[in-house]
Amino acid sequence: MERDPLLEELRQLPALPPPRELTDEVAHAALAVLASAQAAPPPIPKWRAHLEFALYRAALPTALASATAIYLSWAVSAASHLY
Amino acid sequence: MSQLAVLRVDEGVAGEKASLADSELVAGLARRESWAFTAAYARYRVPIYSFLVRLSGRRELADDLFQETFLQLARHAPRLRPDTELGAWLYTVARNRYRSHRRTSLLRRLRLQLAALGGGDSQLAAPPTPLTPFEHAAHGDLGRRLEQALAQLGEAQREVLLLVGVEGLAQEHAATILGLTPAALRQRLSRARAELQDRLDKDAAADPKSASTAPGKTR
Repeated sequence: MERDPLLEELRQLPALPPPRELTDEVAHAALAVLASAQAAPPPIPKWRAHLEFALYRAALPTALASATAIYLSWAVSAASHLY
Repeated sequence: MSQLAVLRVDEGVAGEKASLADSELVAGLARRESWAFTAAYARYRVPIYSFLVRLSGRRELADDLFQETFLQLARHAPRLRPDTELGAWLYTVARNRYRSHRRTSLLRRLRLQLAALGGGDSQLAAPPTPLTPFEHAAHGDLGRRLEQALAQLGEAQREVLLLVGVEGLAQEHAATILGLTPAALRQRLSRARAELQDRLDKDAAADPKSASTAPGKTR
């Protein structure tokens, strides 16, 4: 790849190190946070993820919709018997 | 053992592990090993701080963003995926923190300007001062002119030049950090480079004494 002289000049710009006080302060604070950071939850097995997906995205909504439809049809037929 | 003592021990261990690959540091961080954090901090604190100072143009703001970036690393360490590119991850967090800060400060400034309508408070629109006069002097004339030209660029152009030019990141990593496709990154880099060269040329024309130290004009 062709070298770009302007990018090379940019690369030569000096690094700007953080002040010593800030460096120490951040290191201390971050190490304290790291020590108390919560461990990642154990990964969910694939079969369980599929099961949960099927239950919450298909089985449960279908059951709710069926129950609603059955109740409504019963309510309509009961009301029609009254008159 | 005090936290200072822990830090000193970690610095020793991190020094021994200075040659470890980023993937090993990520694995150590995921296990919440303090030596891994210390080694990652030693490796990335100067590049990230330089990036933030030049991106924000203000030391005090860079200090805050620098702290937030590494605290975020410590907080997120156990959830790092094994394939995380640590450098790219840190630059992305630093950039996002800066953008988030800029959004809130723009809103605040807008509210202040609305409140001060008619008052003519010109301080509100003051441009950032990237480096102190001492730092300018230490960089030499070419460095000073480059820093000034960089600071005058728009944010999108400045960040691409900072990542690819100043920090020397591979273009694919810079594209990931900026959320661009490699083709879009190349295009933005080319425009930013042309704009920077243009500003340097104008500066050299205005001050012929510095023209002898002008960087290459390859486009």
